Amino acid sequence: MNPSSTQEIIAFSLFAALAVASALATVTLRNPIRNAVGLFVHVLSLAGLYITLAAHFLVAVQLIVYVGAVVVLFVFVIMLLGPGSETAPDATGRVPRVLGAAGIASVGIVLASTVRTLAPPRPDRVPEFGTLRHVGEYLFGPAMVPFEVASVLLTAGIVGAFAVAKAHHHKVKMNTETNLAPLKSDAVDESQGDHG
Amino acid sequence: MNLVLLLSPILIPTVGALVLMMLDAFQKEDGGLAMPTALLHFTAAAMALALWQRGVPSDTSALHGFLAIDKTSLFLDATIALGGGIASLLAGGYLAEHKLDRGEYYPLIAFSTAGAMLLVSASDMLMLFLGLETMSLGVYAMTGFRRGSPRSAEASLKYFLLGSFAAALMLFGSALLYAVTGHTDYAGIAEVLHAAPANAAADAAAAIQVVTRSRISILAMLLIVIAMAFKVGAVPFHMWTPDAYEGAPTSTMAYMSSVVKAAAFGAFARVMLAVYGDAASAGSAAGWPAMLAWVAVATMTVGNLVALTQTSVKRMLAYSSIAHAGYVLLGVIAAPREGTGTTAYASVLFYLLAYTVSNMGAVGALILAGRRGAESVSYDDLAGYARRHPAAGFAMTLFLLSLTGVPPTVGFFAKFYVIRATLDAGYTALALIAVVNSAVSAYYYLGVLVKMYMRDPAPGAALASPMRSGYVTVAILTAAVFVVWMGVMPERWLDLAREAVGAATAAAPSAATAGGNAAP
Amino acid sequence: MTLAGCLTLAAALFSLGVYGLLTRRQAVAVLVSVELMANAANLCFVAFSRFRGDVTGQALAVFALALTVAEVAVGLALVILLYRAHGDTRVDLASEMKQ
Repeated sequence: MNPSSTQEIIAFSLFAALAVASALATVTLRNPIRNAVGLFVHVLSLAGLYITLAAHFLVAVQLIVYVGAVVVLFVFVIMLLGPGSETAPDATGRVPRVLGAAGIASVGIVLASTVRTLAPPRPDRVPEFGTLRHVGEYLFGPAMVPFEVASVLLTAGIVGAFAVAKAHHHKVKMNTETNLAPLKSDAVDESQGDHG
Repeated sequence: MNLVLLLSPILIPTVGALVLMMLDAFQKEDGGLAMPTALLHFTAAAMALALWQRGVPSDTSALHGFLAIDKTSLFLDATIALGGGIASLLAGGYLAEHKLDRGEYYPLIAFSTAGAMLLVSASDMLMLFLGLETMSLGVYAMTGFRRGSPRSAEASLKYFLLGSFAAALMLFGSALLYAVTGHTDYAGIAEVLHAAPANAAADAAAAIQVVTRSRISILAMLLIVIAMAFKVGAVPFHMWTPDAYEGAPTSTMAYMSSVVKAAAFGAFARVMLAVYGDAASAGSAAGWPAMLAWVAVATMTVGNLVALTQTSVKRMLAYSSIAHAGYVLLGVIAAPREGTGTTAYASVLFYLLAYTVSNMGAVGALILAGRRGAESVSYDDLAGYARRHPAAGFAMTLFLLSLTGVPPTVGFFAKFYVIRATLDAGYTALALIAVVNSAVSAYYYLGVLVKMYMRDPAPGAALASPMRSGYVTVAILTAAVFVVWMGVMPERWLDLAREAVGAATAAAPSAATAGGNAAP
Repeated sequence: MTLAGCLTLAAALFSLGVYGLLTRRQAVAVLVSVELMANAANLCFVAFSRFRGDVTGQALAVFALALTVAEVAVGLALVILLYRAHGDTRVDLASEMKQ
């Protein structure tokens, strides 16, 4: 096993601390915008970690997709929902939930301590490891089938998001009737007892 | 060309979904896509059968081990496609009646079906994951289709969040498996996990490695089991089920409770047998079958007991669907057993097909009974229904009898085979609990029949009267054909399921030896 | 920088995500928590990819990213749907809705 260089260790520790801190902020802060900013810092620090782990292509993807798209989408939705969305009080029965989380965390610690013994030798850094060419050769070679399936997945996601969020019907003829009909059937739903 | 042929059952709904989107875009009015969607699904089912008849091409190297196209997956593909086809027909009737008919619904069904087929064909954690998500994303959107209703919106969001949580658990589980084995394909993982350490005793470091590996693989297994339990709605991970089923459009509920469940169980059985089918993980008292036995008992019991207390037929069907997941689990538990395991696995496939057609039919009959504005059908609404509308009443009766497990409907044989497999595997107590549960379930299923045939409606009460829809009628007839056909010649169908399972063990020798369920 | 370090970090981030999922009721915050969990799994893949010198792990992480994006798109659409129908975005995952 070749020892990591000092710079690598420093960079790793720095980004790791940042990742944990931002994750903590993300899950505990009440204001949704702060959650989103926490996620933003978190994915940036993960990108930093990926650099130390020689995953250069992934760093690019992480920055473009996560920072560029996902976080922006989150912020966009939070802004759309407005201030009304931030006042929701959190769970009342906190103790069991915290206990559950502590249990899961202890599983994580056991896991980490077990893994210590596993450590396979770290191979020397090959210059092209993790580059676009290297990952691309795998994606378009053996992994062709899952790559194509991922495109199906993304299409399904787009159609799904569109079907759910579309505000108005684009087919004019339906419009006049639909405004009344769902209300009526909902009224029945409610009278069945939606007083929760 | 070989690749296209191999993947044709999956490609048909995928390409079909794109065509449906184009059709929808160029259509002037909504509606009318149900029939093309149903035909698409039935074509996919026929293609799976044709591939079965012709013999699965042996050269699957083009798939690079990501997908296993064998008779098991073809059987499940056909089940899924049949269920998807019936669900699209139901949607054609239901959505139009309730003024929800928007064209996006049909491509979403087709995408979900493609995802479900990928899920049952997956032989790699990556494909398992991609298939699961493709299927789920479509279903999430279909669940939120009743847009104006707050309940529906909340239920679909809950379903989505818990589903993504399950997906994240699964992702972390596969990350751990990749960590300890360096593989993501089932066969590779199993090979490394169960490789007997050559000189473990001599080499202390190697021994530690083996212990570590098994500990982490058990943790990964737990994560995968929990994720799958969420997907199939097994207790204690069932809390999203009744709300999501009730809030969803009824045609989506039919799809979720049959097709999604069949696909999740198919994939679950495959991954457990292929990766954890060895004697150490599956045989001992602390292995996963013993753990799942508790889950199965809780699932059956909770599902049935809560179903007893329901007043809405739709919610009753939701809880009964939880109970049925418990029965299927029995077969999965018995499947790794040496010798009798193959038949148990076959009984799982049989049950999934039987439940798909019975449940589709029952939900179809429920859709038929719920006109616009009177969608939430309660037991009381059905008073005298069968006397006023004999045909619609008879349809409901047939499918509820099948769900109860009354011979000669298919539901009886499905339960019989699963319970017999449980007995053969030596889980006597489990089989007894299943029989008792089945008796309990008769109470609430037959309660509907009593209302329909023997009670008069209270004066001035709302009366359920069937809507008229050719789509729903065709869907119910299709389901009825299968319920009766499979009920009349169950052995023939069980043999098919057996052949499906036998072929799987022959086609994937490494998985079979690891699975310990090679055909006797 | 060791493998155990990476995995401890991933486990910690994953647990933080689960904690958020269990304690938060605000739909967007729950969704963010799920994101944290998926990212922790990704970190695992990438770390092992590096330590095994095998590019498969990185490719898996790329797939997982694509998948998360699709998930977030649908999830946020559902949040908007809930907001339109309900006027707020609270969900309680642990309990059933009142009948």
